[in-house]
Amino acid sequence: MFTKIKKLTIITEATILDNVLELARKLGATGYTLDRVVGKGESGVKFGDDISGMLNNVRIDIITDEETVIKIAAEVEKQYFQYYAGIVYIQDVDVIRIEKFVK
Amino acid sequence: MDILMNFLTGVLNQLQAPVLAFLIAGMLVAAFNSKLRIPEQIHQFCIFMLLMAIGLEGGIAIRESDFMEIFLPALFCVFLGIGIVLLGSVTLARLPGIKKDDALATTGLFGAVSGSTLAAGMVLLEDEGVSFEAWVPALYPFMDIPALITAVILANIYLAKQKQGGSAKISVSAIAKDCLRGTALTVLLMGVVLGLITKPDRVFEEFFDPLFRGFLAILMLASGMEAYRRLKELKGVAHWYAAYAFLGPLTHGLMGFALGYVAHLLVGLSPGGVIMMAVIAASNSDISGPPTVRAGIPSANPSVYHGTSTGLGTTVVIALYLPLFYTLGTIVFDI
Repeated sequence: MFTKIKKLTIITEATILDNVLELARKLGATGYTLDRVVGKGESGVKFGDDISGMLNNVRIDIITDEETVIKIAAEVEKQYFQYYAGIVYIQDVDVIRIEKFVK
Repeated sequence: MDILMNFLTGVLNQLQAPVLAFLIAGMLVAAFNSKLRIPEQIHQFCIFMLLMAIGLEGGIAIRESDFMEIFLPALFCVFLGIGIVLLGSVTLARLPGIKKDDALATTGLFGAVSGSTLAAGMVLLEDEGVSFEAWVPALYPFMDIPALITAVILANIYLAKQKQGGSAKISVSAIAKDCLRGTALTVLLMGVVLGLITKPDRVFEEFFDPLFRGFLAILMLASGMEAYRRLKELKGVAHWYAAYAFLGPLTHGLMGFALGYVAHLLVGLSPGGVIMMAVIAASNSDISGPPTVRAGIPSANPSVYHGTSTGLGTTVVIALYLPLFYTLGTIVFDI
């Protein structure tokens, strides 16, 4: 019933959310789960509560095969992480209905 | 001497006016580390209410105005938006120890406009019984968008020259679209169009207008809390930025006043309208501008421009320069 697959998590600035999602879609992600998050890191506490919304942070979870996960992670790093905050990691997950996650 | 006294009285009056009082209260609350938070949805709704009121009133007023009467001040607003950024690029951006992209991002925000400062200016003029054309506040996109576009273009040209990433090909239409799709301008322009082509006079008079000051007060409280938090980020930043937050809006407001005066002579812009143009020019973007700049000039340090604009600029303009330009207006036009 369960199949092994990867979950890619990207925590980054809300400013570039649309671009990252579009990039992931182009590289083969079939969907994502999104959260507004707060936390603390290298660039200080990110409450994400400024009135312009510029400091909001998001966590994007994408479940897909390993090859796609690596492509997305590499491309996001190359295009955005020189100037935007970002944390990326992958985890092994076991899912049901594998066909939802791979094209 | 009288001028100074008038200005000081103006500042004192402003201190007692609810607008600045709520702003300062917000700063104090944040300084005491209070758990009070104004949720994002609430202040977004406040912005919606203010800009919808400004838009509707502006649209209704445009219906009854001459095209030329509006066209010239609108054109002047475009000049001001671009001019403020160009001025910043040859002053602030050339100072020692200043990163050029940081400076351009900052000057872009100071060329852009703050809806809350605008609303505070309107309330001040209303309290003093100075009338102005209701469409003048609705001119703000004409200054806001050109300023942000100019800043992003100049920064990207500079970065392309430095070859530090950042490309010279930037799409002006993409930035303009981004500005227009932002909450602030969408609401304002929707209001203007509705005011212009429909008859929303009753909903304006019975709902949006009476609530204007209340929502402005809440937004000011949120802005004060925000200003305090952003101010802390300025600690590690070059002192020139603090100087810019004081001198920039003063210069920009005077430029706005001067062009407003020309519009007064040429197309009969009212004295209140001239003061409003100075306020629009002096104000700096704290809500819709920062995300546009973050996206358009990624290499610029957000603590610098966000801290300078939201942390310092907005408070300085509301506390000092609203009364200053009002006083200047009373002297020039003998109100």
